[in-house]
Amino acid sequence: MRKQILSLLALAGALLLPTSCIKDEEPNVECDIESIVVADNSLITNVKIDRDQALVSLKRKSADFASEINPSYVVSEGATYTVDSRSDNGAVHTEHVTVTSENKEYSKTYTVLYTPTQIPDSFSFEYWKTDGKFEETYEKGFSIVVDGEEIHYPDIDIYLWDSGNLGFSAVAGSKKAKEYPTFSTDIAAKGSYAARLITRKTGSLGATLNKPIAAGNIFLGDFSGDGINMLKEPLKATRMGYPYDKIPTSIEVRFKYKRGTYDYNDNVFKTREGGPDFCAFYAIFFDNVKAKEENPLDIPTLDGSNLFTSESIIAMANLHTCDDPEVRKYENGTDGEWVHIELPFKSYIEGVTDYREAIDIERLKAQEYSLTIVACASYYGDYFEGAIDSEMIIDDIKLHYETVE
Amino acid sequence: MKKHIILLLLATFSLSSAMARPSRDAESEKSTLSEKYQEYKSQKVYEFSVKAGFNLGGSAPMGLPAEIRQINGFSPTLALAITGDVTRWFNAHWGMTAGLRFEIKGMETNAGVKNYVIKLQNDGGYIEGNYWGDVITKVNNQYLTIPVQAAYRASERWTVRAGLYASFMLHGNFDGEALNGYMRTDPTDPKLETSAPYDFSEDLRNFDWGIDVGAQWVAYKHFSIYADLTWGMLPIFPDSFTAVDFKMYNVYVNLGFAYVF
Repeated sequence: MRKQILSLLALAGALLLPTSCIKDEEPNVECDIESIVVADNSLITNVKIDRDQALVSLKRKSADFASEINPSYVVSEGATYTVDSRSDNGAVHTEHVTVTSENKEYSKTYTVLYTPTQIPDSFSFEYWKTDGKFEETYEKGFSIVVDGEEIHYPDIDIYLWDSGNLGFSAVAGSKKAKEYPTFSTDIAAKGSYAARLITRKTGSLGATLNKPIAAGNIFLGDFSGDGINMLKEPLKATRMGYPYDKIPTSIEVRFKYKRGTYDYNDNVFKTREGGPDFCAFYAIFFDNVKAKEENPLDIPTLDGSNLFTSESIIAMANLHTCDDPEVRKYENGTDGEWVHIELPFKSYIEGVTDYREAIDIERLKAQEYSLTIVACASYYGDYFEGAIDSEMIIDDIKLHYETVE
Repeated sequence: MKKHIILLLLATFSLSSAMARPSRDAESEKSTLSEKYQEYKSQKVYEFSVKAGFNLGGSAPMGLPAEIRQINGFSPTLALAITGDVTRWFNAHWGMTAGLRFEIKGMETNAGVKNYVIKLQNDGGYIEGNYWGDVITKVNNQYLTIPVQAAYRASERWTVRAGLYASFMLHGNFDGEALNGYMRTDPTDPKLETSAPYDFSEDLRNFDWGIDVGAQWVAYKHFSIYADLTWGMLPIFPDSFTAVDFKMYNVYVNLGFAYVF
């Protein structure tokens, strides 16, 4: 009888076989620069690769690009690349790299900048580009100090800010750029444009993924899912901060804020403390060597998971912990008006009142400290908690600092 | 194909009229029902059986699309099938079988995919993307099935059958998740390392029909073992459904034991 059963099973197997043949693999469609390999890695402070541009931040002007940097590109499986052009403009080296997918159907041309990167003294969110499906702000023209001399590059676009828009695109479907959490607005305090941040619903799909909302946010850094599981550790997708070789003392900003009332389920929203939603605006100055030690990917940045807890943090200017109640109250709303605030940096090191004492000047010059600035329409937005339609518009950020000789 | 269906329908019709006659006879003659039954049984004109088994197979595309790179796992799940049927024997070899079957057609697969089109529902709308990673699919559909087959008794122990079936879905479930990978909304857009659950249960077609061929082997006096291949001719999703790029069909082998009265 066993024989009969086996023959019946064999018959069943044979009948099902035609459906289980794996076909030959088709040529790959991907055309990304996945990483950039350079000759001397110790010169690099940060690499930010976006949809079709990349910024490689250098510690100093490269003395001999061909030997010190000599970049090569790691591209998607099967894809090929060509360097269409290389140009040097003082301290800035630019390459245009075209990556073509293995099946030849898709290609992208990246603009890759190799430059010492300095965080500008002010930001006014005047320039925006639609990057694929959503908007990203950039600095049109930037200045760097090389060998004590400031050089201005008016024609070079540099992307220092990022947002969670890329994450939102997973649930956005056919939504327009202005329906994303972070986008430009002509409601501006200064100039023509400002950054508008709105906490959005992510729909039934987002809710299934335990991310029922996406808070409008913007930060100095890079939003990247590389090397992490965005589902399990979404906080780590935010790589915050760029090297900063000055001692920040305070930060100014103009903003408007109006909080939402309801959560994604149309219930009254309550923060983890039990109150209504409020906004976030803060700047963090930290030791990027320590941050790198703490970072599992060996990147000298902070991320959402250690933003307030990292040992590397030296000083912070935070609206939420601001000592002046007349300033702090604006985190709850600004009655439709623009408000102009200035937040001093306060020591974040226990037992140290003057954080200047904790800064090693030589290391500061060597770009071993970094700065990030974060704004968010819902304070706990990074934990996917916030009221729908909480809205913050920010403009005209100014950094105050001490320079060192 | 059409011709075969007509033939089968005719055969079914003649079978049912044949079944209708004995009851009239029962009225006209005074013999008891049990005597009648014994008579039929000795003649072996009608053969009743109940079958209990399970379905082993898949709701799958005919030939895997190139986007599926490997099968990481497959489970036939516990897909039960309970059948009651009757065979009317016309002579020593040929007969006709019709029945009623409650069955589950189900499976779970885990496939490694590359550039696999996924469409996810979000608040009623679809989000389309391409996925690199693993895709888990879980199917569990309950059907009420009517098989109609020609039966051929090849030997004392072997009977083979071939025919058609019609299935009406009582309850359908088709869902799963894309995971351990990344999605792109377009090949030129950045990677999004995320999982993506989907549920297309509501979109399943409520009707299925197909070919049903099988064999039965008498193990003991009343007990047989049987296997039937049921091959669906209708895609499990209607043509208007576009969230899965390829057509999928129910292809299952129903294996089990039969008790023949």
